[in-house]
Amino acid sequence: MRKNDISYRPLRNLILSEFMPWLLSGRVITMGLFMLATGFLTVTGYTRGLRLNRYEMNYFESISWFLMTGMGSISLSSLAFLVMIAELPMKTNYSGYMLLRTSKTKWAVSLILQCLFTVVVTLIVLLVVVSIFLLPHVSSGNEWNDTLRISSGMPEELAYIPSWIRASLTPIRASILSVLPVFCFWFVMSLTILICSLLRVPAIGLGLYSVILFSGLIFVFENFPGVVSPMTFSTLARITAEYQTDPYSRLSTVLIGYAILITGQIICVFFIVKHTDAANILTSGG
Amino acid sequence: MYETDIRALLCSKRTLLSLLLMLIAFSGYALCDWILVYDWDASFRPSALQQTIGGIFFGGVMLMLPLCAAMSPSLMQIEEKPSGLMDIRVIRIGILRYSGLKLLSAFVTGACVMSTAFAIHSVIWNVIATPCDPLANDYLAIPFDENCIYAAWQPICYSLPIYLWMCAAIALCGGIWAMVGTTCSLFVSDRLLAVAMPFCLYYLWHSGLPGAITGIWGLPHPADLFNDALTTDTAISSVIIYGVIAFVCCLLHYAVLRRLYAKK
Repeated sequence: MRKNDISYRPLRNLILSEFMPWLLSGRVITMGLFMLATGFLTVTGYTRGLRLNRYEMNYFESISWFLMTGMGSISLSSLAFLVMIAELPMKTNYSGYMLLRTSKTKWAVSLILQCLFTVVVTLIVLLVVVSIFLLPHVSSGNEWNDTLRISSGMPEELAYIPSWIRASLTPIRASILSVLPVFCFWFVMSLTILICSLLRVPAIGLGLYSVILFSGLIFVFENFPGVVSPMTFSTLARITAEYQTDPYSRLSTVLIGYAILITGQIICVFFIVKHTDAANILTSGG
Repeated sequence: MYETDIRALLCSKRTLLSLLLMLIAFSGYALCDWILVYDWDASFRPSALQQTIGGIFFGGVMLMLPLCAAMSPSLMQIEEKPSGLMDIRVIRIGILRYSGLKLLSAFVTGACVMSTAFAIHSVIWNVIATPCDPLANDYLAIPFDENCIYAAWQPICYSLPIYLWMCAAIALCGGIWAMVGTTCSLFVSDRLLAVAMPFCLYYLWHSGLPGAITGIWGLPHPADLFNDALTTDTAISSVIIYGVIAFVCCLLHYAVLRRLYAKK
């Protein structure tokens, strides 16, 4: 047996033992289906628009648009994701036994990796299913169809993708760039829920994010230029909406902000796990 | 027993919370709008009617409605299952009466929460803003479509018929969504999911899922009954659809309970 097998096996077992029950829980299945249904509706509306206007869009252009606009509605997608992760850290009847058999550090690492996997798996499943819905309606190629239409007389305002992206990125790179803010927003959300659960106040994390997500639907933050809703940092379109002249510096600032926030949250998780009694850790959670 | 159940639901803290949430949903948009126009000349500020219905047309009321309406009855139904209270009640009054009791109390609670929130919201804005009188000031008139039933009601008694219609329509929708929530909570044992399910169903209908699946795009929108483009035909079709939903809820609620107790 190699040395790596010995050191990584407990970590792998910890992740799998808590990740699989999460994946098969009622909340994840129900909210996953809801997200897929909203994805289907967004794609249906998008392809109807393309058909009516006799526009062509290729696959990566469409995926960029889908992610950039927050999968139809970022508030509702995030709300569904919030319900999915509300139980983090997932508890099984053998969690206590596994925690006693391994170290707190490994358990903390497994919790952070679980948060990461929940975000990655949700995004991958969503993108795969949306791709299945999209593929019959999109054209092949890797050029910007919006640019071609604008050069033949279409007004710039009707373009699906902003000009600064079309001018400097390929559709594949734009897709990768569009997924980053959604990933960061959801990862911060899942780490917040995890931290609140570890602190034995899961309702605070859930309540905080419910307020953030619903306030975007209820209040008109655009009326107050000084007030910035956290939802402003949820999608590429929102982040760069008022920074069209210098979007890259704005985007890099936001991504650096996310990196600092995520690092701080990870340190927090380690600190809480290290300084909490194992019995308390096992009784915490959503 | 009906009165006890309805009273227990109406006086619960959750009902109060959902009423508060709904009031915030109604007033959130109007408040943001009012702060923006506060220093304008009084005659150019939006009317009380515009402020009252602004949150419905442009804010988050449509989406908050199923969540707030279903919150209290769904959670009560879900808590009755493991506590054994459901078994005792079914033994005492039978499945049919129990089902009727739960759905009726849910309907009354949902309707009361929604109509009370709307009534408080409209009274507040009629005190703060200028009541709508298009005959005295043209600027205050909302340009409803001529086929819209609100167009003829706007000049009558500071638009009182519009407020009354909307209050009744919101109460009906709230009541039916509370029934949907109660029925959904029989299928799951998770409290968060029980509250989220009516919201998800509402949103999928709102986004056109029935049309996307069946190809029939003429179905009414779930908020058509109190929306700004309301015509007589839309009102009739919306009431029929909501009637069908209520009937399906009754059937499903009874069928699930029967199945549950047939096994016991």
